[in-house]
Amino acid sequence: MTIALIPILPLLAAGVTALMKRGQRVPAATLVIAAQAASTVLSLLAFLQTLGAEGAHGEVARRYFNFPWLSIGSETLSLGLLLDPLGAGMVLMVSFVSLLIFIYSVGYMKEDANFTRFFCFLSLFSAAMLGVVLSNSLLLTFICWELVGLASYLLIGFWFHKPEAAAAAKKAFITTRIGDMGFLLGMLWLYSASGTLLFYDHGHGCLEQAALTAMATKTACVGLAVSNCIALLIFCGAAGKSGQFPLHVWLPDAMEGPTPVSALIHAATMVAAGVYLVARMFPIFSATGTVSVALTTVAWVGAFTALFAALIAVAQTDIKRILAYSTVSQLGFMMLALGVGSVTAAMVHLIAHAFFKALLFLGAGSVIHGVHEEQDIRNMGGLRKYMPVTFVTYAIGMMALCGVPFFFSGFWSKDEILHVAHQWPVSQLPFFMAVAAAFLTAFYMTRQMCYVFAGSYRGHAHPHESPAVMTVPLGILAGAAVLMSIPATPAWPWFHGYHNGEPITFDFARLFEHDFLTIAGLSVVIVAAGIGIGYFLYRQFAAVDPLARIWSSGFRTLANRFYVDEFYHATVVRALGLLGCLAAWIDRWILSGIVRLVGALSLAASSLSDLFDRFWINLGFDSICGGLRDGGQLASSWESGRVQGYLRFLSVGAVLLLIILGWLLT
Amino acid sequence: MICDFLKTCCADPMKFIGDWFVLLPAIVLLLAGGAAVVMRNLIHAALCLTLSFIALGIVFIALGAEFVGFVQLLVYVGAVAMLIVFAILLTRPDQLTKSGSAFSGLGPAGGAAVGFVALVALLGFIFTSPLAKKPLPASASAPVADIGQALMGDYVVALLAIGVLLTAALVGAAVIAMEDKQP
Amino acid sequence: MTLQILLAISAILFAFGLAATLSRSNSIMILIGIELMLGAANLNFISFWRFSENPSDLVGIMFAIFSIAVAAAEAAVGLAIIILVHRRLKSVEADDANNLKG
Repeated sequence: MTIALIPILPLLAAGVTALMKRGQRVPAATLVIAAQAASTVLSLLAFLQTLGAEGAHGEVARRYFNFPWLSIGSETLSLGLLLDPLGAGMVLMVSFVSLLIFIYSVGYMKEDANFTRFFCFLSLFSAAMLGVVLSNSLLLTFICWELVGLASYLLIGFWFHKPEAAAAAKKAFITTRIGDMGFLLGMLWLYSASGTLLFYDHGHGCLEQAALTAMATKTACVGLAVSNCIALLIFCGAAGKSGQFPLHVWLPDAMEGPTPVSALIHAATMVAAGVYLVARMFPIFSATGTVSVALTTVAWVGAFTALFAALIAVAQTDIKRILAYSTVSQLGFMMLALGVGSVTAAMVHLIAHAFFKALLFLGAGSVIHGVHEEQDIRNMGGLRKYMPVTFVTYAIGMMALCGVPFFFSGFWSKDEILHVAHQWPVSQLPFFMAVAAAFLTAFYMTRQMCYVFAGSYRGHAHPHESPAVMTVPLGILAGAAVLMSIPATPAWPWFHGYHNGEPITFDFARLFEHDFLTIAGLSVVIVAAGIGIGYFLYRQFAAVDPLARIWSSGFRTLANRFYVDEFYHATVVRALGLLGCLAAWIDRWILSGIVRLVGALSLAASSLSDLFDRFWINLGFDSICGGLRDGGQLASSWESGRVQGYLRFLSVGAVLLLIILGWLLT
Repeated sequence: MICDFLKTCCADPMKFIGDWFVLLPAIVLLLAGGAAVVMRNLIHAALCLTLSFIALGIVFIALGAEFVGFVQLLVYVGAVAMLIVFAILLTRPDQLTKSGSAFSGLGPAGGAAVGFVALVALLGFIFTSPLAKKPLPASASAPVADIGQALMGDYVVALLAIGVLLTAALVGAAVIAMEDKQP
Repeated sequence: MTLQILLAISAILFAFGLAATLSRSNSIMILIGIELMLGAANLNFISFWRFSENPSDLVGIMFAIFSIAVAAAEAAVGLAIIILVHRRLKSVEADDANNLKG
């Protein structure tokens, strides 16, 4: 069971690094990177193994290992590890991207005093994320899910002395916690409905046919099938973690953390955990058919989020926040793909997105580092002259994200999503929303590129290129972004075949099936339009954003993120505040009143007891003592010291004896 | 009982007169004894006591125990009564105006009552006991030679013990009454 | 002359002596009472001797003689004590010698 080592090695590295002192930077970084490298190698081996494995035709090749963890009476909770195509690709991506980002962090965090602590937390996160991917039990997934949340909290609030960072970390944790409540409820319901939390367990697992049919046929409240209810609850957790509307509010604020954190957690891996969870639990989501209530909800939420976030990203001015909203939007795309029934399309986009979004974030980090911690794009400009490597890699990432055709993975994966959305029998509206979001993606990325790299430099620092330890990972990721385009084409449906266990063949003819070319052409047109309009509006820097001039109120709304945060503050936060006041009032007046009442009663009882003691018992004692004293005084009065008194008694006694003697004798 | 007594007196006048030799000093004895008890003045009481001792001695002589009678007169009247008078003189109170009660703080009634009770009990025993109804034997004589013989013969231990006792009493009394010679 | 008369006389004298001992305040009066009682006892002895079956045994006489000797010794010691007490307490009242009061 060597795949157990994949999460355990970074966990051990985190444990050892936690004990290291602040000054031991080199050992800490070396240990963490070595552990991660070992995990990457093991993931690669696992991946190669799944490539070679073949299940029965139509069945996916799965290997799993379960072990009992906790026995309560006759019930046993088991945990397990699973290795199948869905997980193997994900684990390789996660470990590889993490490794690159760890190497990047060595350079980025070089001036930070808490270098060792950063690497400890990074390693903890890596271990937890790999645990989520490789788990075969919903319980183990949940445990690692919470650990990932914890690591995210620790890393977002890494610079905790900044109040905004501390507040952002709290917001992230609380918002995802709200989603996790649904996750927990779903998990409990699943356990009660199917009797096990293991995914695959020789036919008894909850994702296997027996359990699925049982859950699909039973109905719960509102006429929904049990499987749909469970799926919707679990989707709450996924929506929280992946920043879907309405739990998206934490993701942009999470940019307070260092850039490697943003790249790793909030672009490539942690937010993808939500998508991965839905993909993993897809059998439950689709237990009542590919068009189930649960999947429909997922699709609508995903489509809405994609458009919503893209609209907000158009008006942002912080380089990382634009990327954050872009991540939310792309996650919406992935959820849409899952909702319309195509796990493959979602996973392809997830893996491709991981690479180019990490690339974009690391590039943004390089830019921030180069202009000395400036993050507002209005104060940058013309950086292509100062930071060429960063510019080229960033451009590659941007083109992959926009979906520039043919050579960039983003084009093929996004197209696949548009394709399956178009084929959805329920409605075409999500398809159009996705198309609009794609247009906006191209638009705002072009806007960002023009602000940052085009024109002339508007800031006050001296921009310089980043060191090699930061640019080399950029280059590697750029290469991956390009290379990933090859396995994603439908001409060679490698992913599709890999995931579903079908034989893989290279066939150009597939390109012409199912209106694929029409949609591909539409998306090319959209992307070109987006880039064109963006370039046209932003090629010259203007103090006031051109869009603001066109439609100022709308732009302001977008810039204020549709006032969602303010709405939450006015309702949820205020309600909780009132609840807190109520609880405090109850505590102070009722509960404390009861305590004080009990105290007063005790005091009253004790004073009553004191009175009783003083006036009743003491009197009794006093009277006894008085009696004794009087008796003593009486006895002492007989000892008057007067001889004649004694003699009288003697005489009387003698006379009495005499009489008695006489009586006895006669 | 008094009727018998009168009959006996009239029947045998010699005996009757012989009886009065005992009875008369006995009456004096009782009167003097009573007076000694109730007298306030201490000297008067001591003198009455002396008189009662003398009467008692005469009673003894009249009853035939001449030796005891003379011993009584010698010792009691000659020594004890003198001692008492000397002690009274030696322990005169300093202020002659001190007039304490002759009877103790406990009250004379109590003492008199106890005495009365004892008297009643004794009289009851005397007049109900068959032993005390014996008649008078003819004569009883106690010649001094016989007393001397008995003293030196049967009662020699007691005699010697009495000697020791008297010696001890003499020495003790002298020591007790001695003046303290502390400077 | 019967024994009863003599015994009655002796009882009366004894009662006088007892009453004096128990009720007079002066210690010397107490002693006088004791002497009266002793005298009454001696009269008892002699009376019993006179009326006994065998007067030549001289038992009563002996008793009386020794009784008189003891009485003399006791009177001497008693008066010496009274004199000593008078020296300490400046009083011969019996009520004043109450140091053993409890």
